[in-house]
Parts: sequence; C-alpha cells; structure tokens
Amino acid sequence: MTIDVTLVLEGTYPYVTGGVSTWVDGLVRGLPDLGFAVVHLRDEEAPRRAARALPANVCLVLDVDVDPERPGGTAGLHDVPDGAVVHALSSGTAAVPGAALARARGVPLVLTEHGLAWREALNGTGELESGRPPAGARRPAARAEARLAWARDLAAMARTGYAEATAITTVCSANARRQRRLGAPAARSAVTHNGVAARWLQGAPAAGPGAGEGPLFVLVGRVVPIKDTMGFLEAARLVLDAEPRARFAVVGPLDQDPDYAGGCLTRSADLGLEAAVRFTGEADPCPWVAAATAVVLSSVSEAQPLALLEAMASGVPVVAPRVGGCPELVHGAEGDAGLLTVPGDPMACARAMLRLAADDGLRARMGAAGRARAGRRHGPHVVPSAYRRVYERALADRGPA
Amino acid sequence: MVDASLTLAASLAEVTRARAWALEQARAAGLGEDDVFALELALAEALTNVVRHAYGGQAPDRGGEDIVLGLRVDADELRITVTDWGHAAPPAQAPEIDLDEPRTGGYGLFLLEQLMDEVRVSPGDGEGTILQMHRRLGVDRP
Repeated sequence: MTIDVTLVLEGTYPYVTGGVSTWVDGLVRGLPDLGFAVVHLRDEEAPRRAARALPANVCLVLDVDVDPERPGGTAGLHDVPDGAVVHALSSGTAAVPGAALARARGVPLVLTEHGLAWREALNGTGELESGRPPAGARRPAARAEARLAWARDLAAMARTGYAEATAITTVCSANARRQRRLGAPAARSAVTHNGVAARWLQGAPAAGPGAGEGPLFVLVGRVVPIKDTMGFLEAARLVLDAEPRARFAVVGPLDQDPDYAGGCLTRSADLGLEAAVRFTGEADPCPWVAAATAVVLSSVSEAQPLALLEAMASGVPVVAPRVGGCPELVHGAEGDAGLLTVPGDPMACARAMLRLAADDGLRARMGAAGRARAGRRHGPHVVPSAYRRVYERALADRGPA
Repeated sequence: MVDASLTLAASLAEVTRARAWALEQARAAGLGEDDVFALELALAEALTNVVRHAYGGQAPDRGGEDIVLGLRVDADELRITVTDWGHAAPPAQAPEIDLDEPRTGGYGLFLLEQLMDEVRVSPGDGEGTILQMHRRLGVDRP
C-alpha cells in the first residue's frame, strides 16, 4: 500500500491509550483506502510496546528520537518514507518536525491541535496532554520562569506549524479562537468535531443504576494530574456525606503517573472512600457508563473529551468543568446535556452530582439532549469524513506535483 | 482588602523579592490558587520584561527607585500596575504576530493577555511606561 498520509505525533498512538490515541485509531480505521505511516516522536530511552492493534492500512510505525544526541540509533526524519500529505498532531512539539518534514518533501502540512499545549503550560497543568511535564515545572523556585519559558517555546512551535500548514484544525471553537489570536489565519483554520465509535450510539439509551440502588458516578479518564482525580475524590466524599448510598468508579489506567495514582489511592483511603470508590484500572468504560447516574470529569484542562461524547451518545448526563471545549459540548440546540462546574472546586462538582441524583426528570432530559447532539454532530464518521476532505483540499490547493 | 505598592530597583533579584511580596499580599487577601498562579506568572513576565528591555538589563542610577509595583485586590478584581522610567516603551497593544518570523519574540503581551482579562500599556509621564492589568477573581475562563 502506498503511503498517502504521514502522521507525525507524540506521546500517543499507538503506545498509550487516551483521547488522542483513540482519535487516531478512529481516523485510520475510518479511512481504510488510505495508507498511513506513523512517525512517533520519542523522548525517552525505554522501548515501548504498542497498546493498540494496528489496522492493515497503517503501513509503518517509525520511532524518531527527539533528542538527536541520545545514543541508540533510533530513526531520524530522513528515514521517513515519502507520503502525499504530512499530518502533524501536536500536543506540544510535533508541529516543528511535521513542518520540517513537509517542507523537505515538498508536500502539504495539515496541523491538528486537540489541546493547546502553551495554554496548558500557562494553566499550571502539571502534565501536558502528551504526558510530559513542562521542563523545570517541578522546581518550585524556578516555577514561574520555567512555566513562562515553556509556554513561550510551545507558542513559538505552534506558530512554526501555523506558518507552514495549508490546513490548521482543532476540536472546539474556544481553541480555534486562541489559535487565531496566536496567528493562525482564519482562511486556513477549521474546527473538526470529535466522534464516537458506532457502538456507543447503537441500542437503547443507558439504563442507569438498577432499581433500589444508589446513584453511581463514573469518572472516565487516566489517573493523572490533568484529570484532577484527587478533586473527584474530594467531591465524592462530599456527595457521600449527603447521600450514603452513592457509589463511584474511576475508569482509566493507573500506570501513567504511578506516583499520582498511588497518592489517589491513599487519599481515597484517608477519606474513608474504600468501600464507595472503585478504581478499575484500564477497562472498557461501556458497562460503567451504561450503569451511571452521570459521567463526571474534574479535569483542569480538556479539549473535546471523548469521555463526555461517549456518555452523551449513551444518553447519560454529564458533569463537566468549564474548560476548553466542554461548555460547547454541554450546551447546544438540543438542550443541555449536563451541568458545568468550576474546575478545581470539589464542592461545585459534588453539588452538580447531587442535583442530578435527586432529579429523575432533569437526568432524563439531559441524557436525551446529549444523545441527540452526539448522534447529529459526533457520529463515528465525522472525523474520517472531515479529514478526507481536509487531505483532498490540501492536495488540491498544492496543485499537481 | 489590599491596596499597596512596592518600589524596587531594576534587577532580577528585586523581581524575585517583589513577586514574593505580591504573592504574600494576594494570599492574605484570600485569592484562590488559580488567581495567585496567574498573578505569579504575570508578574514574572511583566517585571522581567521591564528589567531586561526597558532598562536593558542594567539598573540606572535612580537610587533604587526604578519600578513601582502597585497591587490592589477588591472583592471581585485584581489590579496590577507596573510603572517604570526606562526607555523602549512597548507598543500600546499586543502586536500582530508576524507568521513569517515565528521565532522572534513578541510573546510577552500575548501571554499577559492570556493570564489577565485586560492589559493596557500607556506612556508614562514624560518617560517610561505604565502597564495596567486587571483580572476578575473567582470566575471561570473556558
């Protein structure tokens, strides 16, 4: 199979699970007639094991070391075979090698930013979406300077991508506005919504907790600081004080930041939550979402989270922080799909959970609105069809070779 | 709540001292962590810029009175004023970013704008620059 699209990405597919990795999986599986090469930018010594099975149209996965000084003989950009389009998925740095590769090969560059890394650095997020901490962020004395330097570097790298890209995409209009403020030309920018796998939209809406059971609140997400799992635990304690039958689940891997995950388990025990909160580790969220009173996010930073889309597609109301693309998902023409909360405020999160638990009618209305919106705007084909158009247009704009 | 000012010399050591002072004031006034963090970043950016650019990295002979930092915290707003008497007044608005030169600077005001709700730069009385920044407190910023 010839390579049509060279994906340049970092800290994600096919090595880790999580939003961006799932997004790439949906993209390549949804365009089976296109051949993909995956250039994965590596920034660590240890070899990695693919967390996902690769479909037949992913012709090759090439690890490129971002540190050329490191011994070990990993590939460089010159080892990447030619493709028709370079598509950089930047969660920090991938725009720069993506732009270099596109320029060297004389092919168009498509740049996608799910979250905006420079914004996450300014937000005080302890971890970028790529899983890397900003350089120097853990040294308290140098914290502000290190943050600013990192934010400035990340902004400069994003702009390098904007200058070269024929198409610049992101997943919500809040991020698109910030891209434009940083210099992305409106004529080359587009919002491409995320989609959910078909299974989420099929079948009857989720039933929620069984008759006679207490409410179940489910956080779907990796146990890492950016998701503020710790804040969810604080909120769980507050809910439990008011509704002793409530139960909670944290559905997501515990191995991405073992120190933080260990801290969460300890905190859960300290708060007396051992019987009420279950940490499932990496697991299929589907049965948890189906049994949930609400799916809850407590993140300090989000783009357009799949966890919310999957809950909405299942007809389950959501509780989400007012960050990134969450407000655009929760509000819409079909009605509100859930309740928005203040990030970092466990009391606000707890109040929203209790309000949903207490009001069957509200829950049903929000679940139905979310399901209608997910079906209309976030189906399984939206990402592949949007990017087929983006790739075709990028090639057409470039003209015949 | 808080309405205070601090006079400092144009040096990076003084910037560190001024930041510690401002953070202590802000915490004492009951600012939330997000607001304190934004204040810390904004001061690091703004004061360092004054030392490096307005004064070219060298404290002038002004008896250690090169920068006045004003801090005011009301119930719902944080106001920061940075007054200097150096040269190189920055432009009145955040400059349009030149995509042909993605590696050059010009991020200072852009970053300040992201941290604050309003950023205003105006010429000082005769010389220097006044930078005013406002941030609404305890509000959501999607």
